[in-house]
Amino acid sequence: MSDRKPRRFFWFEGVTRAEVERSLNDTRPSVLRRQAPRRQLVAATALMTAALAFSIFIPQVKVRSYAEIALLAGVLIAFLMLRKSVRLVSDAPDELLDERQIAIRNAAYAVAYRALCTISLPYIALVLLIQPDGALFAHAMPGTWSSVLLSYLMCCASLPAMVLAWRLPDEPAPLTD
Amino acid sequence: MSRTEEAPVYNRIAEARAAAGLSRQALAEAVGVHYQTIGYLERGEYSPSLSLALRIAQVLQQDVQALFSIQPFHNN
Repeated sequence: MSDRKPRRFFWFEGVTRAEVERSLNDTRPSVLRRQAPRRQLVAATALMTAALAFSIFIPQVKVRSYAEIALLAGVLIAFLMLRKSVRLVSDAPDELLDERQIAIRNAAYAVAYRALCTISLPYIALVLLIQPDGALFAHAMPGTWSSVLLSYLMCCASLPAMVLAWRLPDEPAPLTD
Repeated sequence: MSRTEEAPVYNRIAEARAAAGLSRQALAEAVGVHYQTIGYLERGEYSPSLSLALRIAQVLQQDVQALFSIQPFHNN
């Protein structure tokens, strides 16, 4: 029998039972229930994540610092909105989902893994190019690895929800017959 | 044949559910899935497992063949 504690925290998935159940049963209208706005959110997240990595090329220190903070905040907000848009299905454990939700989550993870393998290549290329003997070393600010690293970490964290948000169709009307 | 090329499974869940006087929420609770899954099933955007199909048929008191088909129903 599964543990029914409502406050139970799933450490590996990073969610609580209560928040997943609340999200799954949320019948309030939201633009994120439709596919088109969800896809716009995915595109915005991808753009901000890429921009965070490339912010290392902003020459003015002050501008770069502000840009990094703004982009990181934007990426974090987008990440939370993405999770909300897919009702935490991308992060929830099996025991809180039904068979369709488990199937779409697993399919999204398979696509996200393949996408991550491909997306890792430009990140690796970028890191190599900003090394002291790299072609872009002169253009990148020294000691700015953190932006590239944060961008990559956020990309890893967001990809399953991005794939799921992109693929899900418009949600059926909540409780209408 | 890949999963994406899989032949669709047609169903009469919406008609049978209406005839039984059940809401999506009530049917979902009776068969142990989320109400959206019933919505996706009715729209033909998800094909159920055999177990779920049998549970739906049991709750709606229909033969599973009367509810699900790989051929379109005449009124579909």
